[in-house]
Amino acid sequence: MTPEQRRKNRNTAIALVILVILVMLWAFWRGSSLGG
Amino acid sequence: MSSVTADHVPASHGHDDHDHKPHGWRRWLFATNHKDIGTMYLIFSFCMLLEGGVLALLLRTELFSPGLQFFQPELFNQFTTMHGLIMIFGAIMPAFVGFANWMIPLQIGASDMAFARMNNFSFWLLPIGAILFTVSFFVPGGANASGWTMYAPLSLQMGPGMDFNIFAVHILGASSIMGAINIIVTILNMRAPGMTLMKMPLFCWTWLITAYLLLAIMPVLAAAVTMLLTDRHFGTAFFNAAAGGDPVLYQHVFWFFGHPEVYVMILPAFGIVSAVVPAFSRKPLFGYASMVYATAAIAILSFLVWAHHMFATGMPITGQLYFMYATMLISIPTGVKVFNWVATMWRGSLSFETPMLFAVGFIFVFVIGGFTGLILAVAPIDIAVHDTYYVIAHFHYVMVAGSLFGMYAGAYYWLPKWTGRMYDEKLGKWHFWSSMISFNITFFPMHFLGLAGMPRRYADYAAQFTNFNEIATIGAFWFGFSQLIFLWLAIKAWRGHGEPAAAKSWDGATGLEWTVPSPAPFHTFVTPPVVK
Repeated sequence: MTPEQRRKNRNTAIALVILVILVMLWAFWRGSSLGG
Repeated sequence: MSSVTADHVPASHGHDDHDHKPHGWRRWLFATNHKDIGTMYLIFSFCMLLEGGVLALLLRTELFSPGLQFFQPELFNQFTTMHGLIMIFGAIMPAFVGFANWMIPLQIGASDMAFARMNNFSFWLLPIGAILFTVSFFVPGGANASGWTMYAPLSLQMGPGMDFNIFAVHILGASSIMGAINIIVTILNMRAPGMTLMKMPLFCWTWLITAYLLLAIMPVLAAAVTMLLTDRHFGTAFFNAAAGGDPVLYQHVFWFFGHPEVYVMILPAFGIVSAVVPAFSRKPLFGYASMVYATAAIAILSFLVWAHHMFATGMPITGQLYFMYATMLISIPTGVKVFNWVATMWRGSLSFETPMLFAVGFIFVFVIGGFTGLILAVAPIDIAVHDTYYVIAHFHYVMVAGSLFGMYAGAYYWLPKWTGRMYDEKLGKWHFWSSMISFNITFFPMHFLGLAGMPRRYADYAAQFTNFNEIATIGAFWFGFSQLIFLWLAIKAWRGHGEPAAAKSWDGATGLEWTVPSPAPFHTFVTPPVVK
């Protein structure tokens, strides 16, 4: 795998991890705003 | 277009013949090769299938006759809960990740998955989750008995087994998220030159969409069970009505995960069937582009229908109508898929080796499960049969005969590529017919039981339900033992028995995976093929 390929893979993964974190925060926010 | 050809055959390339694989236990513990990790996923998931299967047989043993024979209701409910959790998180999901690990790099012409070490970590989290599930039976109070859905407030009242359960779900969820990231990055960034997205085999497409689904839903499940945990131990009141929380909110959050999860467990099976049906019809897949769009449509719609699991909670009539019609909409893209599979077979040169039998069997039983799903989507009917055996019958037609038969179709189809040997066709056919007949003996009577009002998740039942329960239990044992045929047959192929498999093991098969030798060498596509 070339360094360019590695960088591209890493950047895509970081974007996906940010997506995961946002979804989790959204779920907590919905839970706290509707629930207790 | 679904079929591709390489302009050179990588099998003959010198690099592919080099065998740099480590040996002994290190090969597996420190595995970074996608094929080894795929194998470990598949073996792990089959072990979990057996564990979940044993729990199912314990349930069916108790239900053979009315009254309490073997297990107290508390233990029975632990069995029902853990059967569901182990089958979903331990068997079906890891099995499809195993298929993805083995086949996606081979199908897109990549040398491996994008993140090989993360791939190893994703796998080795699974046994930890499985151990937590299993040992939770032996902690005070036993395992979680609130159902695989872990509904509050019941799950808030469980013993420490519930905490094991929450921890296990967190770990398995983290594994799934890492696996999904790996799959997305591999497919988006590591396709061979010329392998455009619309040339990818449909299995890769269904997994790409499934991986996005996983990224969108697993964090929601993680948040839901974390809120359960803090309600249990840290004084919060998300779901605890006694402290001002809302138990129905848990159901909303859970099913926002739970309904797309159903498609996580079925979309990869669609991909497998879309590979097998054209191969044994000796025709290209009918309507490739429409299959891709239908898969995406199913995935999007799956986020908009979660509350059809909650009609019985009491919902405004407009809410019921919306979720009812939105659920029915899913039948349109699903119907497109079934139509395309049938149209692929239409006037094809059909042959019915075991993969094709399982694929056609999948279509047959999945359609039955789909139709009962449509019936359950009708709010007034759903309220009448809610939490009855009708629901059990419906989702086992989708999950067992759908996901599992789809997986068997794929396993038989690619077994020659994995092992380098043709499996025993006669035993394969026995496995199919025995599974198909016994599956229907087990689950078809449950429709009648449900319509007659037999509730699920009880160790006992009224005497009028006895006959159908006896039939279901006999069918369940028959089905369970039928799976040992596959185990025997796979072990035989793995140990080198059977005819050597050609690189292209099926005459109608297309795609890059059939351009490498069988068994696939440890390293493949070190030099990417060019796809025309």
